[in-house]
Amino acid sequence: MATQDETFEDVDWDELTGLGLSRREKTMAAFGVCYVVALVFNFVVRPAGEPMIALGWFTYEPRAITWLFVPSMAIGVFYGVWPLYNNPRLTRYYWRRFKRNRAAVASALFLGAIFVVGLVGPFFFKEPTLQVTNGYQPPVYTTVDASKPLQCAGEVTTVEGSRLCHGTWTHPLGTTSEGEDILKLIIIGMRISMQIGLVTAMLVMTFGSLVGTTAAYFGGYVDEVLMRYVDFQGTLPTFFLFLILSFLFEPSLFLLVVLFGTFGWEGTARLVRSEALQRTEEEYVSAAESAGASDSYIIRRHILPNVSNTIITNATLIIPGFLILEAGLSFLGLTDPSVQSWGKIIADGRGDLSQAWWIATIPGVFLFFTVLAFNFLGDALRDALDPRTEGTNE
Amino acid sequence: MIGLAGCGGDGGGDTDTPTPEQTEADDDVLGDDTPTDTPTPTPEPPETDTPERLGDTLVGPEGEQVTLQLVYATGTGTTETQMQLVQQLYGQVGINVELTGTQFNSMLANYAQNKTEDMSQDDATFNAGTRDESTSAREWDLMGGIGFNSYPRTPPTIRSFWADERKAGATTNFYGYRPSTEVAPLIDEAASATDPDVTQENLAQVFGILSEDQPVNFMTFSTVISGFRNDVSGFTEEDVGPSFGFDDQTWYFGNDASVGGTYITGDSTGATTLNHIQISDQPSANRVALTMDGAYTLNNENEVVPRWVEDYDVKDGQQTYEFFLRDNLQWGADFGQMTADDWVYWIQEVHQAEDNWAGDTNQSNYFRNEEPIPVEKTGDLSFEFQLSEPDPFFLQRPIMWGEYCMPQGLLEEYRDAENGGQGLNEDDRVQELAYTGNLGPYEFERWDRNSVFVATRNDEYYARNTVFDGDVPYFEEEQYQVFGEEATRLSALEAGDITTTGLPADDVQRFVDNDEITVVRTPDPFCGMLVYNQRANGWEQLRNQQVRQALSMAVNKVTIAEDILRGNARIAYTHQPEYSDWYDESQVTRFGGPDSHAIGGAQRMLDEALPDGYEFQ
Amino acid sequence: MSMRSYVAKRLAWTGVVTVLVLTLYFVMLDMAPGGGETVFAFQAASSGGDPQAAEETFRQIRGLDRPLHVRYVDYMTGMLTGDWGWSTTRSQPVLDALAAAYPYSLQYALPSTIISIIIGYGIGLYSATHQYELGDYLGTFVAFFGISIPNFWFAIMAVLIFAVQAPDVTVLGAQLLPLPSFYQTGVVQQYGWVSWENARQLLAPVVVVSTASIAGNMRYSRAEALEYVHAEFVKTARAKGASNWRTLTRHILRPAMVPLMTIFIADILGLFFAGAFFVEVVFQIPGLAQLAFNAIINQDTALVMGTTLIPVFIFVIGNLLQDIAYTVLDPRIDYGDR
Repeated sequence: MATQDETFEDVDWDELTGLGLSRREKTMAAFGVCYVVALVFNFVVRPAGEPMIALGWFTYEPRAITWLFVPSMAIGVFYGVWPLYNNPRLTRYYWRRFKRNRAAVASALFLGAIFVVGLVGPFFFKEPTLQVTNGYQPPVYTTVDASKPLQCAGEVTTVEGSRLCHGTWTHPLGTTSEGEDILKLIIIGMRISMQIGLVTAMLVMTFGSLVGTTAAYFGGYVDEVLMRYVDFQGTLPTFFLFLILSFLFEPSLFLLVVLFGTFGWEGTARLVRSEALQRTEEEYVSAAESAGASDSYIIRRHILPNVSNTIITNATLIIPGFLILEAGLSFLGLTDPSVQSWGKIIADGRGDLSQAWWIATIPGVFLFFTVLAFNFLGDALRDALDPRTEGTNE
Repeated sequence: MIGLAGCGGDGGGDTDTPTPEQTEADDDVLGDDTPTDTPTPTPEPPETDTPERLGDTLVGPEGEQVTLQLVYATGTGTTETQMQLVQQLYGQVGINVELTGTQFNSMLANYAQNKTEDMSQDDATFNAGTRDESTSAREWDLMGGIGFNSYPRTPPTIRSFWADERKAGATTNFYGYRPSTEVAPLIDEAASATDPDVTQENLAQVFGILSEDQPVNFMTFSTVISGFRNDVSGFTEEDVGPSFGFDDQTWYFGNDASVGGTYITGDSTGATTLNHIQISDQPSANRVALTMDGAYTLNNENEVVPRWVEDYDVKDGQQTYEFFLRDNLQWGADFGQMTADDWVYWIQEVHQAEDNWAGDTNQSNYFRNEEPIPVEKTGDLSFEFQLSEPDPFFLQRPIMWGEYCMPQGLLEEYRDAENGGQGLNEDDRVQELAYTGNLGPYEFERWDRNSVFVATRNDEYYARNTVFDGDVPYFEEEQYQVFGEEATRLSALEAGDITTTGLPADDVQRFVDNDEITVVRTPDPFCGMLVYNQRANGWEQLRNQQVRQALSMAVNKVTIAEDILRGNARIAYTHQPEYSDWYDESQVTRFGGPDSHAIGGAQRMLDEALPDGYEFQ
Repeated sequence: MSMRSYVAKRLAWTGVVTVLVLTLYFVMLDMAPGGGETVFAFQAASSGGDPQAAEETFRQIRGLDRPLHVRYVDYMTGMLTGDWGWSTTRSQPVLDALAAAYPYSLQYALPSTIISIIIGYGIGLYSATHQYELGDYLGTFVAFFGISIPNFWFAIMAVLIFAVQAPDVTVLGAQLLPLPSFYQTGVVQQYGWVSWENARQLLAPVVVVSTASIAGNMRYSRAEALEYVHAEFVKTARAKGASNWRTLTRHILRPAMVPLMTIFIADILGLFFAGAFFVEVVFQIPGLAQLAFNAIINQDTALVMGTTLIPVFIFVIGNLLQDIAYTVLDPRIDYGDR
């Protein structure tokens, strides 16, 4: 259970009266205000053409998707990290159960590394640009037929009649057909993958859990209406909608994430609802009701925290689906051509697999391990957080 | 015939009647293959003429850097790369370019179609009004990934692109071009002159004006590249040219011309219909072409090569064209012999039918000045067209060139029925080509949608041992196999599972090096271009001819042709390829080629041409 | 309300949803600009014709020249009476198109589903009973391999390795390698649906598709089995001396099987609208997934309506079946009281 180990003297009555806002929720509100101010500043006040932050050499112009990424991270911090921080005993308990799955621990470290590198890395180098003569350089210690690149950055040797171009350390992972360094693209891709994953997860979690818990708690007519809408949304052709919207507006990462996040939560809703259905029958809920708590209070403070395990696990497990979906859409040519996600590099390089195999394979390997890591992590989280799976040894 | 605009300069795998040059000894066509023993550096512009740059940014009257919106069509392989190069080069000139990639049909809909303020969006078309009144739904300055056919056989057809946008005939002038010297009258002169020298003179002037005016940046003419498995024989280097494959009935497998084998063409798109009345795409046309020969075809010298039409007569100073059919042409499905009656009925009741009951996609060619061209039967097997003005290009137009027909009996069943066109379209005899009789080398066998179209050798082929020497065709079966994924299609060629397919311009070398495959290259009349928006919603300085010239100068076409397209393209300077009979070098001004003054020169030109508010910093 | 009336209500809702969704599709198709009309008009204009007339011809051919509501009523009545219209991008009746494409999808989807169920359930159960051991990690890795790798990359690699660059391998006189580089419908014509040649063509697609679905099955079976692996009655059975296998089959599987059946039902129902798009595109199998996708891309309205009717129906019915199964399984949830 996620309730605190409190004694009577520890109860903060201020917190329980009035709006019932905890310290965490007050911080969230403050953050929200800052965010809205920044939003207004960027889109209304700031003159067009100037980057948002310009401090001498450091200029920063956030893409549309960053405006969703920042609140996603904030939600992750407020709902994920903060409660854990407040509850050291619980955190230790979960960690003990989690770390039995060694593969999951490795995955968590890997994902953490990707998150940090992806977030911070791109600030340290310039985005690679087109340089046709530098295309098709092989990774270091490998070779490619010398006719493939226009100019070989490394040495060219002749082996058994065929001329081979060698890789160099200037491009340790090689270059794409347009001469862009793959290592730099991978790092940029880390950020993009994180953005895709976290933003869609946030949207799906938010909508799914709200709808699921509300339906379960209220039951009856509300339940019926919400669930029938969930049915309907499940049949919505999100892909189709994406196709049409990308005809009407230009295809962009923002559109992809918003669309699939906003219309992809029906599975989560059903799952959350089935969990919450069990919770609403518990005694503490009827106790809170008889104590006079409002519906929203009960949902927010009693039901949601108790189904949060399911929500988090589910979120961790749908993120990889979205990453693969984005790769698939790149394959179909339906994504933003200016965003160099891993999926796009793989899709662009698929025609050259027989000769310039590194273009599609190296990002593919990264994508593979990232998705794999999310899957391991999600399963381990479910094992660790789900109270029904009593561990064999504690 | 069917010209698909928007192929953006790549000779991808869509086109089929490959017109490449077969090479036996070395897979090198048109002699511009990069030698494989040294890496090819980008050719440097000549040292003497590179002026220094004037600055890093071009600043406009409001004190901000000039920013141009470039929209391009995604999907074609190297378009994105080319546009990024343009962005880079313009960045060096000092202009900031913002790229927007979108699908080709939505690019046309949102950027090329325009309307005046009081029109509804449904009425939007490519030239709905003058350039000040009629603008597109979205703002843009430059457009890439689009190409216009240059019609080297019938150059007057380019009129609709270059006529003054205020004139009615400029139906595709969506960029609002106003020629410095009137182009349309020159083209009309050329179109109706009976003396080829007059035609040549006028056309040369037109190409000169276009190269001077730079309404668009004419960038490249690409090459259609095809790969064949080595066992395909029957053609030599001399067969290379724009009409390569016009006599492919004579091809065979192996060393001697004997019947056998299945010839499989890999196609990236499938057919949509086999009803040739409604066909508007090349893949569908290719499949029908297996079963029917058409009236006549053209060889590489644009001469008429007879098929169903045995002979023709040009009379009255190129105003009357008479055609004589062979007498051994039989329809299938018991429709009897093909006679002039079929043809006259066909032209009058389908091509010229006012209500277009049949859904004909090629009606406009049978009308002149809004009136249908008079067609008359002159004998059992002959009929003639009577034009009101001389037309020296008549035979090369898609009027009788490669034209099919349908039995009058079949058409009559649906002519006056309700929804006749749809009824005809859904008729099995039409969709299964049952009426083709002995009219083509192959007969329809089956069509597995989105998979394969199979045609088997026609035992009754009328041309066997008559029009052609020998027992043509030599293949037992011909198939068109659809591949949705290019990687699979090319793998299939390498594995030998298909006989031929088109190759992408930037990935030819591995097929050239492959011992089992022969690469053939054919010139392509499509000109890949960068369009300048001269309408009111583009940068107003684009209306200045010198500004356009400067921008064209800044784009290094050598990089595009040699590096991005790996030498599988020729640089373009005007709207006609150099291999065309009508191309005249003398009046063409060159921008962006190897002798161009590139960035520095472009900046100086801009400095001169732009009004006072602009300066380089 | 009783279970029967509940089911009846839900079925009625299914019908309503289907109609709603079809209407939605219809309207969206009409709104989308990508139908090829502009391209066609441009082609016509570039060769000297009149773009307006060309657009009209195009609309006429596609049947778009009548007003929206007339077409809508036409389609809807057609759907109900069994005339699902004419596909303009394939030039055949929609029903013919569906009937032609379906067997191609089924022939790789059925073996893949069976394989992935067997392997998935197997790995899941093994994982549950051997938690945190090396076998668990390996099995999980194998299961996750399929969903972690981009399908299209895997498929293209398969073509490259087994079709283009593979050496000649014959087994018992029959050709095994190299595999065909693409799926040929001619093989079915010549040798039949159940034949060695056809099986060879399907080998790579089936492998790619089944690996992708193993993980889902594995996850469910593992989760369900885990619920019972540490349960008291299992401990009791072990204490009484039951072997691992007996514990597994008689004590764990039984309660776990029931929810697993609902997943099984979902899998089988999924076969009704089989479609692994990327596999079909790369191997060039003319199945339902490509049919549906191409219909949408080319805005072939009649075909889009036809291909989407089935999955809509399946999805809603599937949800209903799962809901019913859930109430049956968990006595705490009772729709009667709510």
